[in-house]
Amino acid sequence: MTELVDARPVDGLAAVEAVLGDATDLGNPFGHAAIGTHDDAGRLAPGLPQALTVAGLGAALVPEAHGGRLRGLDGLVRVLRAVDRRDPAAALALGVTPFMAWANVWVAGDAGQRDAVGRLLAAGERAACAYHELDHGNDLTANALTARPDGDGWVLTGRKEVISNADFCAAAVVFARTEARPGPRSHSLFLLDAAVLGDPRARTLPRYRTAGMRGVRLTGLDLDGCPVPGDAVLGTPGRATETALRCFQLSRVVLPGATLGLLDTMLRLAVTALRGRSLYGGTALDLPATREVLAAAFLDLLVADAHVRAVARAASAAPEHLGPLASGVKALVPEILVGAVDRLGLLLGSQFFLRDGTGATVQKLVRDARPTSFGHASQVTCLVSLLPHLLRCARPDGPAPTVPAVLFDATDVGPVDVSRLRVAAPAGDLLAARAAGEPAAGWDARVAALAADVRARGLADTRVDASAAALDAAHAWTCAQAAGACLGLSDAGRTPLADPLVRAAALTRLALQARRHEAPLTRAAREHLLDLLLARVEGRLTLDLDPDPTLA
Amino acid sequence: MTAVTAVTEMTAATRPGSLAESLADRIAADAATGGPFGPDATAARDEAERFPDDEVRLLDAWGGPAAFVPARLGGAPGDVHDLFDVVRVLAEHDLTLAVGYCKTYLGAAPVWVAGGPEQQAQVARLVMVEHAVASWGLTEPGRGSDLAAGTTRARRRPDGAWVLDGTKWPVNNASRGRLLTVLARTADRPGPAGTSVLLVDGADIGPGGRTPLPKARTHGIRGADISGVRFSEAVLPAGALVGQEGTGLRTTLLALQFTRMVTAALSVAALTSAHRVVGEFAHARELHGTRLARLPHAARVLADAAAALDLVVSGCRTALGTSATRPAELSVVSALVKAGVPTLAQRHLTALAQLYGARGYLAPGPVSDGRFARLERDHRIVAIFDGSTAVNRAGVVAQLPVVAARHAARHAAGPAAGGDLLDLLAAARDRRPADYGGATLLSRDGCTLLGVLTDPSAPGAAGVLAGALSATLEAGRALRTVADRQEPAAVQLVARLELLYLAAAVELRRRAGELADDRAERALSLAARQVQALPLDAEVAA
Ligand SMILES: Cc1cc2nc3c(=O)[nH]c(=O)nc-3n(C[C@H](O)[C@H](O)[C@H](O)COP(=O)(O)OP(=O)(O)OC[C@H]3O[C@@H](n4cnc5c(N)ncnc54)[C@H](O)[C@@H]3O)c2cc1C
Ligand SMILES: Cc1cc2nc3c(=O)[nH]c(=O)nc-3n(C[C@H](O)[C@H](O)[C@H](O)COP(=O)(O)OP(=O)(O)OC[C@H]3O[C@@H](n4cnc5c(N)ncnc54)[C@H](O)[C@@H]3O)c2cc1C
Repeated sequence: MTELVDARPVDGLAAVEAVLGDATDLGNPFGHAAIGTHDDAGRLAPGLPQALTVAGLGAALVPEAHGGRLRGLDGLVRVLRAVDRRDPAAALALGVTPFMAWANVWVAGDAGQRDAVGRLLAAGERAACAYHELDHGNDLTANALTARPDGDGWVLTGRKEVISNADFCAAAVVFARTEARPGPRSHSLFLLDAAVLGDPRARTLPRYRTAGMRGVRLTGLDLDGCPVPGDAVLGTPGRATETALRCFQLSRVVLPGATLGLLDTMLRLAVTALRGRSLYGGTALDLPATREVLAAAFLDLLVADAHVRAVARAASAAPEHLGPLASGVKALVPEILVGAVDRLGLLLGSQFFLRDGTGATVQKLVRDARPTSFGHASQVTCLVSLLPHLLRCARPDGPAPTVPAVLFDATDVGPVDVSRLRVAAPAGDLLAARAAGEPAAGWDARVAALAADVRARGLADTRVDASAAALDAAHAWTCAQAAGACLGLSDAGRTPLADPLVRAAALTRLALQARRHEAPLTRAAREHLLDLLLARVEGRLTLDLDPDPTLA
Repeated sequence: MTAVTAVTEMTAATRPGSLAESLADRIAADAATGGPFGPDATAARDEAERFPDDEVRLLDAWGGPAAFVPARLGGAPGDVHDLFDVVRVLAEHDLTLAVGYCKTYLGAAPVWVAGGPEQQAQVARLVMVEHAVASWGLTEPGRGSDLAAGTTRARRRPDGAWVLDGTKWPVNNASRGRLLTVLARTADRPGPAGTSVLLVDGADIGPGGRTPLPKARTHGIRGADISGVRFSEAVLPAGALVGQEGTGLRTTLLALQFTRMVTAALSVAALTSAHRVVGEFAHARELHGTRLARLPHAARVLADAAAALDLVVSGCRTALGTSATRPAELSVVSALVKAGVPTLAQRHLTALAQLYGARGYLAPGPVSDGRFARLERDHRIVAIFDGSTAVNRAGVVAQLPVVAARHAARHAAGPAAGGDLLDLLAAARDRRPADYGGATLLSRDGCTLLGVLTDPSAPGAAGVLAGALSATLEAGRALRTVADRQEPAAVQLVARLELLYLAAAVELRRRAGELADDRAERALSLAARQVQALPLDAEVAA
């Protein structure tokens, strides 16, 4: 089985792969073994941040217009995924977190703020994005850290907790309360620069230690009447919640999209380990049950990548529609990822549980996978945010959106115009609409039934206290979005999804997932996917849609 | 709100006056006075990946080893029922402790199954009086589940003594155990008939014959002594043979039928603790202007976990009863329990972890005692050792045709009122001892408990489950070839059967008045939903 290696260069990808070197080389300071040792000690591999900066990671986060090299989010995801394949903690600390901070500046900042932060990040400095308070979690509008006007500036008091990079950053975005009254217009965003962060009234909290992502420095800010200049406000005062809702659209795609790199590595290690495990006169890879888990995890990776890819491209091609699409990715992709990672861990058995060689790396990946699902915004938070959109899409007289072909092809999709991001998307769902017209695996009927269900439930069941059934409907809707993405990519040719067997298997798997059901692949699909997977591993190619060369 | 009541109900129910209760009380008292059972001490020990030596010493002094010895040999009067409860109590405290302490039961089980009277009395004495640790050497480096492929050899010398050569690894407590039961090849004949079990007593072997292998570091249960042992020309007395020569694999498989049902207690305990920790959090946490537990989604997660707990506890209860009254069915029952209980527990642990958010991910520190992150990590071993989920499922697939045929025959004889099955619960209630001699490699009677789910027209979830059971068994009968039986679709049937078994246990307890109707109905409808979530092929296509 041979596939064509995609010749389309992604800026930065090859450079990142090159500095990371051969993962299996025990002497490589950035190989699995070295990274595992440092991870155990709660740090990133020494030299890794600098090497990634040289490879252009910082520049990859920032758009061309602001001093970096970022064009479409799909390219960024591919670069971050290369880091994630090696060390998810490095990807979070050096890539995803600075990008999340940048997204706020990008969406709400003025020209000076964008240039300043853009330059810092492109040069490899770290940034922090401080929203979270332990007492309030996903409930953004309840956040308490307060900014009160003081002359030309502001004075900030309160704490931000469990924040990546907070004690080690050149800039921090802080979400603060500027009005005492409850509601969405009571918070503002502040950009703290090195001078403010160096003020003795801006202390950093001691480090939080976590089960995984141990190389990430999770600390916090403890601001005790810390003065901040007036030009540190990002965007219009009082509008931070709206800014968050817009810039989270970018991070809700980028974070899960990057994390798929972890599944790539896990799957690669599993294939190698099981092929080498003798069992019943053959190897563990001869057992149909083993083949099933591997093939299904590969399919999961392809499906999730299709979903991420289409939505990442929508950020450039149809930014007005991004909100519900990105919420769908953040709700579904981590569920697929964590499920696949857990099944692979179980399959590896003692080779997962014992902390040596493969086991050490696999354990780290299992631990590192977890925050993808609850971190940033929980699955439920994303599903709740989808409900009003669903209701709009479910109107019988709702417009049928035209789905841009560029979501699914391999052309340069162009830069993201963040000024076009909207808090509330127009009616119509670019991906679910594609699934609604598809009879295979019953998708057309399923989408119609979901719409009817949502209509019957009405507006009352679209809020934070949404019923479990409403959330189930929203979850099924995210699967419809993923199915739409798979169909679009399948029709566009080129990737494994174009193969009729893989296409059918993907649609069936998502149909099962929509009801949180599980059933094995057909034997033909399983064996076909496994052949493809083994050839990719053999050829040292990535296991997502585009087979990029990798030394992971 | 259903979830509110559930939190308080779901603590390990230990019987008054039992060994488990007395251990639970002493552990609580020790923890309260800053002893080694205290939460900080436990967290620190785990961080240091240290074996719970202090705890073990105390447990020994408190009479813990009686749990590992059959009642008829002077062990705990409640036999395996007491043992199950002890494992549960220890594991609710810390899984590492339970795994590290209770391994002695697994190491001794082959002797309870096949040992001669003198050997049994001797091992009982060593365990209870001398607090000897026993471990179980099945696995060999580079080889996992394929027990018959081991290369450890025991030769019989003309004087009757045995000479043992080979390596067992990874083995829990291998470097601590004075006693070690070893599965070894005693004849050149390939296959099961060439294997025997030998009981190694460290006191009999010179230092050269037995080299301990270093502790392996692990993902979870980090303080446990997962190590190994290498034998080179170790000489064992003639009396070391357990059971007949050539019955090693048979003895091992029979012993596993008992140990597997006890191992499931680890999952029951993990789910109990997780439900308690997250339930307390959700009831206290303010989110979106209310308490998290009041939001419908969170309430569902908690209620489902409580229902799952009723399912796993009930299934373990009927399995323990089976070991006393219908031991010949254990090959099916204990495999269903060992595969089904950890799987269901893990599913709900994952859901609870989501609800717990960042706190469930924090290591011990000011915000969190790290307990949840630890148990979530530790629990993953349960589906791997003592026969992985896949291995247990393979064992049931092979027996599906018989299970189906016996079920059909019983059904034809009339709907089961469950009356004849109530002895399963009575045996559990009366703490009747396990019948080690009654176990068989294959169950000729299938699985009688499933007979409570024979009426598809029954109201509520019981009817749905009965329909699902008959569809499952029908598909099981259609598996003709070995290749069919290896297909994932066949494995899926067993995954369904596990849930159906647990549901049948709940239904039986409901009929016996052990579970209130509404609580049973919640558990049954969870089981029904989860069985439907594992569709048969035909349903997928539809
Ligand atoms: C490795 C790591 C890095 C992090 N880095 C950062 C960072 O850089 N910056 C930052 O600001 N934060 C950071 N965080 C914090 C993270 O963003 C929070 O964990 C996240 O916001 C969730 O908050 P919480 O854990 O307090 O969960 P909570 O808000 O308490 O939510 C707990 C659970 O409640 C449930 N829930 C939520 N809403 C509803 C609803 N409407 N109905 C029913 N159930 C609901 C969900 O299951 C949710 O998971 C990081 C966390 C980790 C683990
Ligand atoms: C912490 C720990 C403690 C342990 N303690 C002991 C001990 O005290 N004594 C001891 O003897 N051993 C012990 N073991 C070994 C343990 O019992 C084995 O790891 C286990 O039997 C399974 O082997 P494996 O995980 O290496 O999987 P392998 O046998 O290598 O199998 C690989 C994969 O194939 C699957 N598989 C195997 N057979 C089948 C089948 N028939 N059908 C379908 N799939 C199948 C497995 O589930 C697994 O997913 C311990 C292991 C660990 C990690």
